[in-house]
Amino acid sequence: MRRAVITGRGVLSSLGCDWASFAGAIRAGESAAAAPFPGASPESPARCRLLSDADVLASLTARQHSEPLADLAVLAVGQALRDAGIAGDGGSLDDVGLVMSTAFGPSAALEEYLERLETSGPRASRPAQFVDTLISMPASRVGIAYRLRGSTAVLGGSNAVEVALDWVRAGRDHAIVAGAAEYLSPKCVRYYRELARASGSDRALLAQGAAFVVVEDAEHAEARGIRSHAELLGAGAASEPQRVSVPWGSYAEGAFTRSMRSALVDGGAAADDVGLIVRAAGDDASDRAEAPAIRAVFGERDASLRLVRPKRALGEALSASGPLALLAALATSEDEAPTIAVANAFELGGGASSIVLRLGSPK
Amino acid sequence: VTVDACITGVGVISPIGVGKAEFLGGLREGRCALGRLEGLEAADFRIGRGAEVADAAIRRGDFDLEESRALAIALLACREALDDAGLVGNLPADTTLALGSGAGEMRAVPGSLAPPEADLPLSHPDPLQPPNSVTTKLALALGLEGRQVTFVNACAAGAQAIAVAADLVRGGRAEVALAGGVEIMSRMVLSGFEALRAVSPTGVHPFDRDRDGVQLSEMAAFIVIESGERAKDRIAKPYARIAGSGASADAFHVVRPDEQGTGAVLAMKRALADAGLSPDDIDYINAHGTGTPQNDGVELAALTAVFGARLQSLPISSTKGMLGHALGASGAAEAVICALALRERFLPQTIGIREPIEGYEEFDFVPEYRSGVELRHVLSNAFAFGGNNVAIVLSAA
Repeated sequence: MRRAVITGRGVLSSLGCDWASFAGAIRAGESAAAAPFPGASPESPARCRLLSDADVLASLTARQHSEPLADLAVLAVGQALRDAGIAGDGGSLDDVGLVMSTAFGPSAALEEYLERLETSGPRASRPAQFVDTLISMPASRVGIAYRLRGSTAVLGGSNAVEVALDWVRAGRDHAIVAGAAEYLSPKCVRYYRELARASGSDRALLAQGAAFVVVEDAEHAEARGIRSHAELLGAGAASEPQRVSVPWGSYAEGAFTRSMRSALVDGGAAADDVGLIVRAAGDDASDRAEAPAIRAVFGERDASLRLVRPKRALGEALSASGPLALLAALATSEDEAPTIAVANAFELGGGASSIVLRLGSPK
Repeated sequence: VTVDACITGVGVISPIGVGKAEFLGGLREGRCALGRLEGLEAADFRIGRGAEVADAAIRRGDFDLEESRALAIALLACREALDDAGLVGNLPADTTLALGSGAGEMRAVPGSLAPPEADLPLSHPDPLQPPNSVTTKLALALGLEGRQVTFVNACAAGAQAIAVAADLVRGGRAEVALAGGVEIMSRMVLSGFEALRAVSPTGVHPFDRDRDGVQLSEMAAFIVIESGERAKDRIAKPYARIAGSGASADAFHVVRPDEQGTGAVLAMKRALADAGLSPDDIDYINAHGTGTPQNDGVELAALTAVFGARLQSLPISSTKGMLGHALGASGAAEAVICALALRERFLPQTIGIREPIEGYEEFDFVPEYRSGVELRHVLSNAFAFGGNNVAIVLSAA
């Protein structure tokens, strides 16, 4: 089995739309500013951390602009590829793949299409508008933008980095850009606000963004003379299926325990080797499931582990939360002594996943 | 670690037959399920044709078919696959569940996103139903607590769910996986295909000179994948092995396929390399074969690039003339067809073909059902809108 390292990082988040500002904010313990939901009264207690369209659009040229989710993904993947020193000359990249995840997909385009279908009927449908509604279309646009023709997958959930890691370890591709993007339509935002209200006020504040890493074959990265930011050791996943109306990640203690354990086994790491845990929990309900799972896996060491909870600062970015947790691990440990970290994620409906990585550039 | 990934059970809910036995019967007869849509309200569509699963065959009391149609047919297919594998009641809780679906519960979603802000059904417990909520609800219904993974890459999603699940088994990271795809007929998706002028008014005519488009359908198809060791201890003979798979992107255009078929060639070559086989080892190709003017020519060019002169003597068929195109479920259904063909020793036919595409007159598009065919290795293609390609190699067990 081949070894895999992270050589590129790209991020657009409520804590910054480039690596330096994101990493700086994570290290400084900053929290993204929370604002009322769009359309809600300023006095409403419900808050969210949505990226402003202006943040995103400012980074795009007119030619790049297509549909907001694709825009986010294209920008973040571009950052990751540049960080990894890949591409830029416009030629096709047959040995660079893409694994992208998105739970809700291009919801703004979907919403617009459905409104028109409802009011004007099927014969009034516009082909270009329909194409933009396909959940996998943002990934296609990323592939087209950078001519990525390696192994490609589009997921609706949280396992993008796991699939990429498996493919690189199996020698399928030299490098794979893996991550997720979420951009919610006005009505999706409205539903989340209602879900948060109905299931308790402490549900994590809704966020949107994109986070990607370049997962590269270690020998390939070495041969290119590229510095790696971390080594990906293993991945694991488990679930405790539940209704989406409960805060996501709650009642999933068993799933967190099994996903961390299987990731450690897969990564050949002992619980005692781990120094840092990036937690998935973003609210008290999910805390109550993840904290005992960490105690179950790490026992007495629980108290001495360094814990990071980026979702408290970033908000709930749905499927992008997993890759954001991974990037938070990289940011936290930059320029520090090497350590082994576990980054957890969960998805709506009770899925949990864990990535084990060795942080710090191998000396 | 590399272990065999064996198919030990199959389940399929299709317009030509509900359940494996009826489905096999439909394949033998060359049954065509395409026609005017009746279950879906389609009177205001330009064409309004396709293939549906009859409500009567799937209404078992568990679900509201307007709200949970994808879940209802996926669950039936999963239960049949588990029963077929002899795993009902003794399925390991950590079984991996891999689902491919382009649109999930797309019949229910317009009710959540189309109404004006003031009329939104805000008290609905699960208003948005993204595809991974189908995976979760399946896991809940089946009592599964293993890895859940959902693929959403349109017409390649079901094939990719099977390919990735097989990888997990082959790599020793899962012992048992339940993998497949589901797609239901919806006004939203049908209207989009009609707007793209991709729907044929006459049926599906794969590889035909005058092919004029696809017709959509709905389907659920699942397989049980087990490690060879585990399968050997439990059952006499698996259907087949999943020997390898390959994925790629065209990185070319959002709708048009790359005219050279470069992405498709990459996926097929990767699948063969992953299986440790050469093109000469393949005995049958289950093509994507949508019957659209764009796909079929490009697919044949790509197949020619991979198989060279041998392609002319290699049986190639598309089952979409019978089944229609069930998008995210198609690749999974076609993997089921390949597994059945390997075990039952037959070649499924291409119905709807009249005159082959110019330049391919002498090719073997399997116009009739063929039995008694000994197959060693077969290749199945699934190509998605936007240029995402998956190829799977299945081998005799």
